[in-house]
Amino acid sequence: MLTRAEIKRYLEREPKVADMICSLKAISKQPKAMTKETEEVVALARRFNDQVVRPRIADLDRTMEADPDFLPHDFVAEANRWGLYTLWIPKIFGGRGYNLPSLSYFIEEISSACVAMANLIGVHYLGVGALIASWQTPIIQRVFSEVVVGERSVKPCLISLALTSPEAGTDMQETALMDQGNMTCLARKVDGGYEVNGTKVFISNGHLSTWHILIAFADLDRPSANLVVLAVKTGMPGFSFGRREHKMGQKGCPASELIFDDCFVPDENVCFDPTQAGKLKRTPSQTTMQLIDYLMAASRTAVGAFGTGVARGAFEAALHFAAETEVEGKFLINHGWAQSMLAQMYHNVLVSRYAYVEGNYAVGIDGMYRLLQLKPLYYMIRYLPKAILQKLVPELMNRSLGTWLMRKIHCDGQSEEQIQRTSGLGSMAKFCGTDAAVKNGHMALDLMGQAGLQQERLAEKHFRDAKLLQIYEGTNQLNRLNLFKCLIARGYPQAQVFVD
Amino acid sequence: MFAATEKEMQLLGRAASEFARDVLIPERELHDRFPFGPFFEKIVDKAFELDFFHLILPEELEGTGMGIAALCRLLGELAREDASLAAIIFTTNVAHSILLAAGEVQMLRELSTDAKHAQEFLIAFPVFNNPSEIAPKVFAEQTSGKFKLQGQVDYLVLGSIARYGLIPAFIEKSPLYSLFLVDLQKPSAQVSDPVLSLGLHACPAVDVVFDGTNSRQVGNIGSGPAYFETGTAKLHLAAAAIAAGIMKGALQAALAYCKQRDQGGRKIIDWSELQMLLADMAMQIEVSDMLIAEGCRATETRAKGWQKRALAAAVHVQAAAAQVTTDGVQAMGGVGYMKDFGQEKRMRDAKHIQASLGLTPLKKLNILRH
Repeated sequence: MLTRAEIKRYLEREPKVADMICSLKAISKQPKAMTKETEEVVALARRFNDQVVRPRIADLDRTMEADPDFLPHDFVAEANRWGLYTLWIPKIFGGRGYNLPSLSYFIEEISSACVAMANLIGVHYLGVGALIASWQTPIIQRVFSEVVVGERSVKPCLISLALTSPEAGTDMQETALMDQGNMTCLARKVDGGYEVNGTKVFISNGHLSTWHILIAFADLDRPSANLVVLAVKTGMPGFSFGRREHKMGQKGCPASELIFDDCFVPDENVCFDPTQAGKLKRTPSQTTMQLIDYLMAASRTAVGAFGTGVARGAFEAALHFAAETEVEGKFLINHGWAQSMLAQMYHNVLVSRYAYVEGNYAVGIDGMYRLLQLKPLYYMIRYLPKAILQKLVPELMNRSLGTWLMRKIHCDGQSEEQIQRTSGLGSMAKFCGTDAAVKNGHMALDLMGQAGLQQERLAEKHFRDAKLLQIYEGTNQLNRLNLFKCLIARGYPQAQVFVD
Repeated sequence: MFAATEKEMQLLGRAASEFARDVLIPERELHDRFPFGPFFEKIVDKAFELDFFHLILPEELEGTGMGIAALCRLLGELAREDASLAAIIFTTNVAHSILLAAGEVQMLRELSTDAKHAQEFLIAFPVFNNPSEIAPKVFAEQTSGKFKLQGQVDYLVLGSIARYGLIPAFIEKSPLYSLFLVDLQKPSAQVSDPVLSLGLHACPAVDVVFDGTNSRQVGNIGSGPAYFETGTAKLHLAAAAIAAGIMKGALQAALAYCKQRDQGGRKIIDWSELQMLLADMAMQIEVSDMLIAEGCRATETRAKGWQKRALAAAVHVQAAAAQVTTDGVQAMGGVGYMKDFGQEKRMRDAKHIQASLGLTPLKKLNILRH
């Protein structure tokens, strides 16, 4: 038999076994109730698709073609009425606290019908995630409370993430590029807060959101060491909306320009800044990269779920067509070559789903979700009476002690290997799912020919919608390099990433 | 019929290129908004006046008879900037070629020689279906020596702007479909609003419901498949030329953007990962040009197996264009996805044109069947 030392040595060999068994490790650690909760979420998504999404698809796309500046307030109001903007906000912050990996299954379901509408819900949780990633608990508590109130008062309160600048897309996703890049969104420290100047573009849900988690820099010459994260509320002086982009697909979800012109953001809205970075164990630049990885590991995995959903939607459109259309005298579904194409499309969906599920397991044991999915904490939050929870948690979260504790656990407590695993697998899920979406979009149109070209058949919509997924949340090119950096290059000291 | 000389080809190419640059580009995004924006009727008329629609019609029908290589050159140059006009020309050429294959020279003469405007000259045809693959839903009934059509034709390209349509329909006792010429302005032909579709927005299509609509028989009963196959054999190359033109436009736009966009403190054209993507695009364009040139040569010299070569070349080029234009958007990132820059339109148009003349997988099988 092998000795302990030998086993350890073999398991450390690339590919590290810890990267291979995320699900196996997570399943034994995670609460069983998550399974039932996830099943409930999938059922809810299917009902929501039947009652809200599908009846609106053709109309929303047509309306956006006719008036590209239309904003789908009615859909957002309906999603709000269904409780979808608080469903995945942790209970400790006043939400309904469904487990966050179940959000990916929900996203897949809605995206299989309409990824634009899936974005109108899912992108809110990108804002939620960005705010959580700062672990600035008093602000988290305050903003999430407004989302909860917005649900009760039928006035939706959404959160967006304002990351991309006109000059900096890929540069915003990687510290190795930031300092060579052309950063323009400046947050200058002034008495009582920060004064922001700059523009953000392609901000999903921008015009529909009440809060915007803004990524800026206190020093544009060395941005990687001067990260500033601010919570900006719609209506603040100096903050305004610019144009809405006219896109090829995902038309129902606005991509907005956000303009900051001497916009004063008070200290109480500062989620993270260089002073706070100085209190963590890593260098400010390393911390910036950790925060990017921490958020993107979860959000890119979710984008993988968006992609899986679109790949599935394209597959389902093609399958439906094949089942009802005769080609050369027999149903298309009975041609062997068509069966083979449909099987390949199904495979693309399945592999993408496995990729985002595994990515979520990694985030569950090594990343953003790990505390929330610890069995004792999970069950305590789940079963503790709400009145007690609401009394205890704000006491802790509204104090700097809450921020200190959470950052100790999540920032300082996350090892390099955990960062690499979650970030690498997040990138993998992202480009796997989104490449599958584009691939299935092509295949559906190949299979359907003339019928697929028509908007009402949905295949062409999935094809148009899919392409954006390969671009946002880091282009798939950036994500491939990130996977290389996180999971491959570590075995080769001579390997240099982002220099060629 | 004669093939164009090299000099004529150069002149044609230059004329098409200038037309694309000066006439198509300025309002390309506006034309693409159809049916929510205006139809570019004047531009189509201008192309008609320049004989862009007459390249493969024989001289006896007032065509120029310059042949398939000339048509490919024209369509490629136009499609580099905006493929919709090229698709209109392509559709009319398909209808003309099928009529010629059916021996309907007199019918073509009636339709083409007196036409003063493009709309009188255009003939609508469901050019994105091969009726032998997905059967027509239109039936023709013969009463008092006349054929009346009943049923619906889906996605009749140019159906909202052309006076006449070439309609595949079944007639009793014939297992194979026949072809009929129909005046689409007859009240018994109900023309839908333009069908919202993936690409080629300014080359509109409609659904048409016939309710006892009078029509003229084209060629022989039950010979529709033979006319379709003969008439379209060389026109697969024309569709491929449109695809190739779109690809070239995509690479040109991607290169221009990559040369001026900085990330990580350097031009993104200097990123080797992106260079590889652009190199793949360039490689497919070079290969496509060679395939189309060889397909045209084989077609015009009636080389042995020219139909198979033309089809194989077309299937390859159209698949390449679908991928190249998808990558063209990727190279430009978020900017490529937006309507303001023409690149996303190329991705839609290339995928749209790939569906011309039937299902892609069956076109592949047809190469084997040849």
